[in-house]
Amino acid sequence: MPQYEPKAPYVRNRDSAFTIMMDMVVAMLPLYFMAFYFYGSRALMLGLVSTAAAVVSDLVCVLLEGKKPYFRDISAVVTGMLLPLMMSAATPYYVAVSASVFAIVFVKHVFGGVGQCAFNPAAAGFAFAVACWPVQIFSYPAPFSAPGAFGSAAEGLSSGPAWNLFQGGVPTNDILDLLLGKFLGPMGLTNILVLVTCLFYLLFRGAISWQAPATFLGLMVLTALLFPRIPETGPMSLVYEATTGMWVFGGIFLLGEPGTLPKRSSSRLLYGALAAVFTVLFQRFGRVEQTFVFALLLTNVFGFTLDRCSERLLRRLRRVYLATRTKLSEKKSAQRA
Amino acid sequence: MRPEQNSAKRNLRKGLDLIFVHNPVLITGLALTPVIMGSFTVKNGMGLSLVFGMVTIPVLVLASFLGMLPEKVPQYVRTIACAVLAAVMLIPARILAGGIAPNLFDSLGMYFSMVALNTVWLVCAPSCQKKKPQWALWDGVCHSLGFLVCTFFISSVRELLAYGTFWGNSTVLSIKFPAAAYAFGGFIIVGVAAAVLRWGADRTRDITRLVRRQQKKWRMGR
Repeated sequence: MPQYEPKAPYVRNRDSAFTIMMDMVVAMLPLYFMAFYFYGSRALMLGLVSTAAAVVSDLVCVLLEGKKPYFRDISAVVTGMLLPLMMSAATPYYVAVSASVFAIVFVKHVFGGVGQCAFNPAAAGFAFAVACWPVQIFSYPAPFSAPGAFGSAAEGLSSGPAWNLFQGGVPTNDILDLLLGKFLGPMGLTNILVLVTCLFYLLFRGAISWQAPATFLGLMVLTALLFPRIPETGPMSLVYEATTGMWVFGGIFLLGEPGTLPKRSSSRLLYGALAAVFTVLFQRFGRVEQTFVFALLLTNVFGFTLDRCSERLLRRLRRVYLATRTKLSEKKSAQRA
Repeated sequence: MRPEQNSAKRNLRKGLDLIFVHNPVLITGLALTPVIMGSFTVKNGMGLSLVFGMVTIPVLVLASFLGMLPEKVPQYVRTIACAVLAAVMLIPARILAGGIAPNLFDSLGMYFSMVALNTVWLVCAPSCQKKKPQWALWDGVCHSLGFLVCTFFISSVRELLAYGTFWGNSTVLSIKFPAAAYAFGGFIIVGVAAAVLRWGADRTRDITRLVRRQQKKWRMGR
């Protein structure tokens, strides 16, 4: 599944769906390591349970479709690993399992499997979990509190700085703690430095294209700097928005999902911009603190349309260019004559 | 057997097929809006089915009578007459459905009124104009029964998943999926139910064909 428009001669590319997905898995490992460091074994257990649920449901769907299981398709593993990273470390296991099963069965396989999803499965799974269990998803344990790996971990939970931002208040956390991810938040979203490292790793490996994340993250940074939604200076607003929001994680891992991303580079630029506009609108007028997934699901709808529109536009531009060139050459030949 | 008896038998069988095999909601995709938006509890579903039946049956019978009018009467006049009757029937339907689900009207909002223009009668009324009133009545009853079966199943699943209750009584289910009560949850459950019913109907048809073929073979063998 190459990330750029192939040009003739069509030589087989070294990047395949397997290598891209494997890069995503590798990029998520440091996030899981940090989650383990802050929240103990429950973070790893959540990841394992969610991934197992995703893989099993994927296998069942493939068998029900009458196809042979293809073990080099590890997109279910990626979906299963992505979901718990967006949730609190104290999320009950049934929430992670339900989100994974929903993502694989109703979002991936209903639309025809890998590469044909209309919506990002992980984003849809998370949106489903938020619609069903918002309290469990947005109640966070304190870092180093190590909620137990087995049984309920519903004690000592509270809302994080993202809730303060959502309410229009200024978080009281230390800036260094925010940058190091030592605050109440989803287990894989708080480590901004690790996330930036993951972005560079994925870009250099060619697992994600640069266009959509660049426009998306660029516009989000500009909005946070120029139009802060809290009574703070631009740079401080940026630090709060980037460290507590889901959009940095989403821009790296969810926005660039090859199945839903437009195929043309120009449409990808527009796609990223559109995602940024929707995210900002959802941030300002939404009903929950983490709204990126809803903005992404809305943007997913426009992926195909953007591709078609950019193709038409380029075709028209080409026609105009050819017509102008022909006229000029005719004029020249007339002058010569 | 006389041809009249044959056609009566065919009409009876066609009507009965509407309950399961050709269910108006799950197979034909008619009247989806009230099922998805309204039937999130069993009480609501049953109330909605009552309203649906009270609107659809008289309208289809009226369509049959209107079919007896001379051809000079234009089609749009007949459709308007049906729509007026459907709207009028909503008044007693609301009073009766209030006995089953007192909050039905408030919880459905505009979707309650939209039952008056449900796609079942809009689609079936033209064909009912060619039928005798008794067969139009039979069609209406079978469509309403098909709607009832579908609504009962869908609303039971949604109530169990969303609230962990059945007809307002608590059950053993401890994990709840509130999304089942939302419109998107309704769409997914109706979609899954339609897929399962279609699969079941196809398999039943295959088995029936196989049994008939075997019976034919045995007869030939004898």
